[in-house]
Amino acid sequence: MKYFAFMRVFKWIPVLILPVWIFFAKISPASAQTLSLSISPPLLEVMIKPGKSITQVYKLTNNGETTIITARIAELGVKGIEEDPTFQLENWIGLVSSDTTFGKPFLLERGKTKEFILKINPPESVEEKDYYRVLLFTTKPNPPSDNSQSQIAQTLGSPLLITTTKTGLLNKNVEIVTFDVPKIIDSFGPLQATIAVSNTGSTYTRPVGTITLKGLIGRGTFEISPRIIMAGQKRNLTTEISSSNDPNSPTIDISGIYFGPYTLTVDFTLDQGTITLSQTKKFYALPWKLLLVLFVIILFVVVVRTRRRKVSKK
Amino acid sequence: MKKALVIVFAMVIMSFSVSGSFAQDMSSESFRIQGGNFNMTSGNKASENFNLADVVGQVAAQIFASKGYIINAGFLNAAGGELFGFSVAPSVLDFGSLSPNIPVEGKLTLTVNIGNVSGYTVSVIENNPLKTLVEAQIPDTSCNSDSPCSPIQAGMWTGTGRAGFGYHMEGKTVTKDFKDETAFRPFAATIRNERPALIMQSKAKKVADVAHMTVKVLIDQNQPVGQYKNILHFTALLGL
Repeated sequence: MKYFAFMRVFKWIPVLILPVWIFFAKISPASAQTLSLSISPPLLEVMIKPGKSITQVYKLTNNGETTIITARIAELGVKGIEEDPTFQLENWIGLVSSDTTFGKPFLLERGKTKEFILKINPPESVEEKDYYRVLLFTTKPNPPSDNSQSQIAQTLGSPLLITTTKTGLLNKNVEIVTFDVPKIIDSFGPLQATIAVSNTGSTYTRPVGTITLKGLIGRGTFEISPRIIMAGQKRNLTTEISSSNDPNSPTIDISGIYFGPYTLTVDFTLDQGTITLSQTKKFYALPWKLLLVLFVIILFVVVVRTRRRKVSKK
Repeated sequence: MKKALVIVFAMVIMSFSVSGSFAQDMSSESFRIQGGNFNMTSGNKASENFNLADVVGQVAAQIFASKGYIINAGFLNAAGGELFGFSVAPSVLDFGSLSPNIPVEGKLTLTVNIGNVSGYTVSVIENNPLKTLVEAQIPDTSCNSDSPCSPIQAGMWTGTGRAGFGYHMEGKTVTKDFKDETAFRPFAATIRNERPALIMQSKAKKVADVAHMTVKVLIDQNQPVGQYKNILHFTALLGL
């Protein structure tokens, strides 16, 4: 009797254990030793008249361990974050907050989100130009222990691209400075082409357009990645079929079989405006490697036969 | 009755294990607010009669003329409500007790989560080489003599003959110089006024990319005894 009573209870134990196990399994031990931040928005672009003011709400979420974080703004250059010790942030960019300022550490607990209100209010006298800055949130490493170790710190950044202008009429200008396509390619590919542009205007812009390949065999249109080109920056155009994730890789890298004459046309506007750039290059595809091998083989055969005839005559 | 109670209990427990979700957007028939900004549109829309991108461009000009600013004036406000996240686990690499000619390795997992905005970069720098309080240092690796390396170019580092401190990366978006498991780099160092070294980059949208860093320490018999420490600083930035 006791046995059957025990079994009546025992059969429910897995039903009880399973959800409890699931509940505790959700608490991953990794999250207790993980630095994990997320930010929204990840990019802010502002065009503003001197004397005007705007605010933007940022949300910083801590998805990892509770940590101490410091916010600051640094200069953003074509190579990335510029850690210039002489850099002084413009006094018209700041946080609107009673409890957080740039450079003042704050605690952000695991799973919590903190909002920051960034205010941008350039004075009437501000120089009209682009200001490239980046809002950075940096974690403080955990206190060291008594072992040899590397402590980990993390910074998450959100670029600020600010254009101050009284009129809204911006000097946008881009030149195509490189358009490298081999005049002759092998028919068995790949086709590699590099197209680089230089921003010679006074404000940042994005190329919006396509690169089109036309020929006897094959035709394709590829969208140009609308990556930002800062004023004074030169960079390669990239497309969906650039060879790798490296932004400096060739613009076009397509394997395939080619034959005959081709044209490669780059065609884009600056942002959604009316300034258009277009350039076309021609090239030819021939199976020259195969022809070369065949030529060598034929030559070899001819030479061998000629020598055999001479030997047989003698 | 007992069965019902057990099932209810199980459901209550399971409900507490479900993560909450956080709304990013508020919307109504008239407008959509993202991240504290008022956005007029997102994405590229077209019809037979007009391309909405052009209409937005004209509207944007009108807004600027009347209000004096445009927020997210770039490519159709694509970044407005998006998230960008970066994780490093664990938050400390413990090398334990170091013994001569025995390499010690620690592993980090780096994760990037990105929304509908194109691309990111991740870079790393150390504050200084591993050192003790009395300034004894473990030098950053220079790799094998026939395959030198630098903070921006990996080289082969094998065997136990060359002491040093360096790292190897694996993942589909890591830089191409990490060709195989023997490819290591020394860390760039703030103390040497070096720039952080690029380790991950992508131009893709809406991805969750994972990479693994293997950090190796190797000392020789001349290395002073002590606790060697430094800070590895990772920076993730939206790719422009």
